[in-house]
Amino acid sequence: MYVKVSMDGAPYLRKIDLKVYKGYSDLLKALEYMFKLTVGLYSERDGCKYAPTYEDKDGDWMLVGDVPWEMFMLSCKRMRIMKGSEAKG
Amino acid sequence: MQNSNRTVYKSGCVGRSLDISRFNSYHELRRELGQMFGIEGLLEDPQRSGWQLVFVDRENDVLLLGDDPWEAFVNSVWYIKILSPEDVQQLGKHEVESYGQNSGEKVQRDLSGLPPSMGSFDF
Repeated sequence: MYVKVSMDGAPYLRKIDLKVYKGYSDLLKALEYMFKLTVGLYSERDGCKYAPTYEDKDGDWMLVGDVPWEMFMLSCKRMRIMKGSEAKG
Repeated sequence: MQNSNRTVYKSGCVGRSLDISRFNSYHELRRELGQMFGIEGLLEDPQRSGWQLVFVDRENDVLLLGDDPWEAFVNSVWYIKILSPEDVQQLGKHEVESYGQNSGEKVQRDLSGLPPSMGSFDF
């Protein structure tokens, strides 16, 4: 279940297989390592510089972490690690 | 018959073309590209050498080569670009600037000519 992951300001995108992760914290740890930054979970978003978002199957961009993990895996089409200021709107 | 030739770019060099169907793995492709451009060994270990192989897919996204299973890569690759350590820094710098101006909007990819590198971007 490979999806593209972009990060604002990064020179290129990466691809990850969502099936290998056990849950959100597993996924976010992997993204932190991959992009060498701190990516906050939804409850720790304030003060974090980056926010993980995803495009769901309806084409909407959503904040990662709200829905159960299994539901996220099924509906996530691609991810974008957004600068925190933009995610809050 | 599908055309399986793909263009490979490296700044400062003329473009090359290779038949992607000749290869069965990323390792074979990296080795061939290294020989083709006279940078043998530099593309096998990006962490150490700083050289990166990226490709542009049919959705016009620039991706790091190697994350996808091989077959998925072959089916989605449009063209390949070899980035020197300086190119990587410069590309990151441009991405930072473009996201500042068009927040969230896609920027048309132009990897065919990178300006000389100045400054640094920690990525």
